[in-house]
Amino acid sequence: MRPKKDQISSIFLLGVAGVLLIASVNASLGSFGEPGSGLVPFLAAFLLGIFCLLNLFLSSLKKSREWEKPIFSLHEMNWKNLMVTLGALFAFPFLLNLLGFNLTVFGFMLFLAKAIEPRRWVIAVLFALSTTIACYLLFVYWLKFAVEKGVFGI
Amino acid sequence: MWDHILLGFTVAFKPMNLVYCFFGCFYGTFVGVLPGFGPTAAIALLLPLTFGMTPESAIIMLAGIYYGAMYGGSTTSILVNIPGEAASVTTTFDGYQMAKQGRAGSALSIAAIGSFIAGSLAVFGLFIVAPVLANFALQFGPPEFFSLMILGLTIVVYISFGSVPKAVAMGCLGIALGCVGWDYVSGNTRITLGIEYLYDGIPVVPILMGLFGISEVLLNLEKTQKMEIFKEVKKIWPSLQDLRESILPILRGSAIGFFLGLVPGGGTVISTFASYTIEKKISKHSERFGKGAIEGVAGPESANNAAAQAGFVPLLTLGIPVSPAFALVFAALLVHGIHPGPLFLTNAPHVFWGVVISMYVGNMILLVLNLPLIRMWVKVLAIPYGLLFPLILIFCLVGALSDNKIGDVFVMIIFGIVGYLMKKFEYEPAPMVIAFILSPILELNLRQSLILSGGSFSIFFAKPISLGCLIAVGLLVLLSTLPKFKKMRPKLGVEP
Repeated sequence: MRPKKDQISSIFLLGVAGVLLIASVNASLGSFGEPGSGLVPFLAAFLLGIFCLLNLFLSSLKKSREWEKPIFSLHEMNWKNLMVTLGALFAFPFLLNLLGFNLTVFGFMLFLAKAIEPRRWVIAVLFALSTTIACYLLFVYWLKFAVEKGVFGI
Repeated sequence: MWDHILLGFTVAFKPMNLVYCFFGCFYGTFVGVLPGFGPTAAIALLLPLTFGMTPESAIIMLAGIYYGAMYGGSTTSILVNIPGEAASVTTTFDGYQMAKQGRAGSALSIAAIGSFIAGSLAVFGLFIVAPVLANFALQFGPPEFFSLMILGLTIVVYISFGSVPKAVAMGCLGIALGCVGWDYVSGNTRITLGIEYLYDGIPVVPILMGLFGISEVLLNLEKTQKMEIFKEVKKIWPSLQDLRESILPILRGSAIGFFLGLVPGGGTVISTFASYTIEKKISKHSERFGKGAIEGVAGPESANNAAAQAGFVPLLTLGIPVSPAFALVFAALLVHGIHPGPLFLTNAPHVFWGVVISMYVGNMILLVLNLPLIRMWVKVLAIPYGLLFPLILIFCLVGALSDNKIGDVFVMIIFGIVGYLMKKFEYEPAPMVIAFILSPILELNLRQSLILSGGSFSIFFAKPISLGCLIAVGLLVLLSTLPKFKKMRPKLGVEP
């Protein structure tokens, strides 16, 4: 039998509540008269745990025959788009140090313009270039964001 | 009073503030028109831009984005049958039917006129209610503030979509996450898991950009949907008959929206449903609703705009954000070193009255943007998502770098994935976000109350205002267990 959405999420959140409880106790609970640093997060984590258990209990009461749409459907979802975008997002901060702000923004935009809904090279390059210039003018020139220059110094 | 209004005009009519107001309204309308991209994500995206502005300019622009999105949301609901944001869901019921009957122009113009009237009336309401509420809130001490925040959180949980235990769990998680980092009372760090980056707490802006910006993009990217758009908008101005049928629903919607907007957690979504239900109930021809009744567009569209502006009252006078979008405005104020609350009107009158007057200016700008320029907004619907989403992502990524900390970018991406998974597992981010923002104030007031009472919780029941709030909390909890109200809950919901 496939575990239900609520069961998976409740068990995960119970783990989170456990970590929060331990960390709160380590931070000192104090007493109600003299509350310590950990008291409020402890109470919040305790309630989180209680409501996760309640959710777990309620979800187990649901009839197993009850149809539940799968959380991730291989056929209905566009996995490629999702993975490519997440990959680009995680690559961005790493490339920023290496290539610098302008080259990274250009590369990021060009990659997504070609990878998700592929466009002609000319359009993709123009799109990436105009976005890079706009980002530079807005964030670096106007808002004075301190950005990385990378190994090429651009 | 007149001094304050004059001060408001002086601030709102500064050339740069007019530019920010226009930009906010324009961008808000643009975002409202785009399906699947709500006002909260729009505000989150531009939040880093406000760091270099004065506080009043920042809030004027963010407010413009918010109520601009409320205006723009109606366009998508009417022409595509997809709500541009959650508060426009009810507009799809009759607006889309009107478009199918060749009356898209009438529906769009009534939505814009209704929004303008409601927005203007709400500004007038703000003038009266805000100072009264701020004076009343001066009586609040730590127990009252704590109970009021608990009431606000309870309402947010109560009107969230889906299961109550899940919403409460999210609220608790938000409070715990808000406690990460330095405890300014004792000077200790807590729940940092030994990670130095977390000593200053989890940064709020990357969290919000992740939860509302990145997660929306991820959700939109995994599905491919074709939209049928009515590109032909022939007659823009409404007929006299349309105006006659709409005026009372507009006035009723304005009143409903304003008063529900004042309630923490009430928000724009609940007010549109309330307005639609009331219009349908009192109509002599209720059978026309859902088939193209103009009252079904006029009432809710007015209600959501009135609520969008009324929500600034609890935010600025009590320091309680009524929805995630207001939580972002709250965060922006904190970044500028301004703490919204009862003393806000005394300490920063130029910000408060400047923002209020700018709302009236913004309403006029929006009327111009939404009536003569409606054909331009219809064209916006044709922008391919393949070009739009990289722009959203790059704005989030660069925006998260505002403090020049790479860690902020990772926090944003992680919370983007968390937000995506929350939608998949049917958890609402609203209770978590509002609890996260309120957590430091909630904790401070709880600890102060307990120290005052020597550790006794009776202090919360001894003060009349605090007791009133807790009784309201009890009633809401009781109501949520009744089967009739249980059935009602999934129809409601806090705007994303």
